[in-house]
Amino acid sequence: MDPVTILALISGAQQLVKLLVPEVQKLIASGNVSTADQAKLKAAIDGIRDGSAFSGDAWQP
Amino acid sequence: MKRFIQIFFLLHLAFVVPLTQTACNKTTLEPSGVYAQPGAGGVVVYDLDLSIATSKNVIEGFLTWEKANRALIEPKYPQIRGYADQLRQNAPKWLQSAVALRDAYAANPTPANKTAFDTAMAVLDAAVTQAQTYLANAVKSK
Repeated sequence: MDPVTILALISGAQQLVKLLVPEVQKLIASGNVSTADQAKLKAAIDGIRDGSAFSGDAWQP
Repeated sequence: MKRFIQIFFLLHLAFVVPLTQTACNKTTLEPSGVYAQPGAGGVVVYDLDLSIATSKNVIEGFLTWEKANRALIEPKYPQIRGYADQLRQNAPKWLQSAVALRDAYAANPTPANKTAFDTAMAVLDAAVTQAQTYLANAVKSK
């Protein structure tokens, strides 16, 4: 591959990074847990605490 | 082909490296959420709850798989049915014990309470590992 093509590829990759990385970071940095997801987890723990989480078919012999 | 490999390498550098760095971000809670409220325990209690809920989901997934495929699994691997029934009987107690110890830690975050919680989680982790082993072995020998 000639040097011009390599430079073009690197430049293209850099442009892609500039465009896409912030979007991907937003998705992955769902290190920020939403209010809805916090409520969902709390409900799951409450279900374990009161036993209702084990009423599904999978838990019956 | 050579060009394809070079492009792949560049794209790998462009995406995988930033993703790897991003994936190391710490958990933060949206301030209006239930765990973010004063006295709710914040990220620490959120993480404890997440580990309990994840264990429950894995165990439940194993039980669902066992029940849905029982006709095929039981003749060949009777021990899987045995283990699943053992989990049906005991896992609810283990999970409720972990939640009780989580409550104790949330109310009084001492090292002793954390150790007690970790001990309860070790029981769940062992159950999860065993369930995953049965699953993997059954799939492998299909």
